[in-house]
Formats: sequence, structure tokens, C-alpha cells
Amino acid sequence: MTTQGCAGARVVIAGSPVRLGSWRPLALLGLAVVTASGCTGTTGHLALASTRDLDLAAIEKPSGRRVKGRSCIHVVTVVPIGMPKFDAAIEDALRQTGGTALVDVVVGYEVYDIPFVYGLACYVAEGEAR
Amino acid sequence: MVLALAGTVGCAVHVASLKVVTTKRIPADRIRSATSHGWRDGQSCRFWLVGLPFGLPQVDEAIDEALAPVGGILMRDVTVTSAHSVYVLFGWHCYRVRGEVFG
Repeated sequence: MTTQGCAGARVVIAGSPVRLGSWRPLALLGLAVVTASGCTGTTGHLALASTRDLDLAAIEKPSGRRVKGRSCIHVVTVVPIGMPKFDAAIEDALRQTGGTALVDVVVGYEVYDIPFVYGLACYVAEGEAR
Repeated sequence: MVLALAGTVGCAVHVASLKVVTTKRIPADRIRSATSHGWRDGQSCRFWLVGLPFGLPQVDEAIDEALAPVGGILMRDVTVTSAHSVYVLFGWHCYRVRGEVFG
């Protein structure tokens, strides 16, 4: 590993030359920030949804426990690694409370993306756990 | 014609399996006494043109479409599928549900 003076602004790290003060990494970071985007949408309103065997006695009693669950996947460049599932989002919400069903459920999705670099896509389920 | 056919693609992916789902507020007694009306399908679709969607398909619409013909109140053992049809510059995104309807 060798270094030269700051005037030369050249550093060699492990044999790989890196030019200090180069605008390119900053420009790429700026481009990523500028092109980063996100969006959310609602894809359903359900009175009751469950991935478990219902406890009919429990679903009649309001719990006041409003919870949100997510099922997310990563998108590397343009390739999704798996598919998000909204039953997994409901299960994630139920897991937080130990309930058997969600009532007054809003099902939606969230997408965050840096084009051609990385993205995150999720189903979101929010409701009252009973 | 060949180009149109070549640009026609579609795919459908499973997005949920639910034990019970309903769009209606119903008391537990009614759930307990509901009887099977058979297996039904429903779907909700939205059109898109040149990548611009005209709204989003709604799972509750698909469920209501399955419940309505037999006066059902809930569905059990439901499979939800997200289906995309693409005809070059336009297409549809649909949610399809299939399950046993009770009423």
C-alpha cells in the first residue's frame, strides 16, 4: 500500500488505485438518491381475515390491539428474490399478539426502489387482532 | 399479428392462502351456523395502458364477486392469486380468489 501527497490526491490501497476527490462516487450516490422512489397502495378492506383456526368466542370481543404485519422481498437490480405474500403479512401481525384473526383489515403494499440497483416490495396487513 | 402474439404474455402468482375471510361484519353465531354453498371463484381487475394503471384491483371486490351469486357471507380455505395479462402496450392486473363459500 502506497500513498502520495494530497496535491497528487492519489492513494493506492491494496494495489488498487483510488483517486481522491473523484466526483464519480458522489455523482452515483446523488443519482441513486434522486432516482429513489417509493409508493404505497391499498388493495383491499376485509371485515375479517385469518390464517389460523378461528376462536369464535374471541372474535366477538374487541381487543383494541391494532397491529401491522409485513411480508417483504428484496429486488436486486431487477430480479425479485421471492414473492411477497399477504397471508404472511397477516400471520406476522397475528404473531405479535397471539390472536387467531384480524378484523377491520386493510391490505396494502409498499414499494421502495432505487432503479436497477435495489428495491424492497412488501404486502402490509393492518387490523385489530382478536 | 405475429408481433402482437409475441408480445402477449401473462403470469399468475399465488399471494395468499387464508383459512377464513369475509368482507361483511357478521356475528360469531352466524359464522357457526353457516352452511356450505360450494366452491366459488371471484376476481377484481384493473386495466393499464403504456405502463399506467387505472386503479388497483381490490381483493374485497373479488371476494364479493364469489359470495354474491349464492348469497354467501364468508369464504373458507381461500386461495388468492395475482394475475397479470400483458398485450404489448396494455393489459390487466387481477386478483382472483377461490374458496368454499358459506352462507
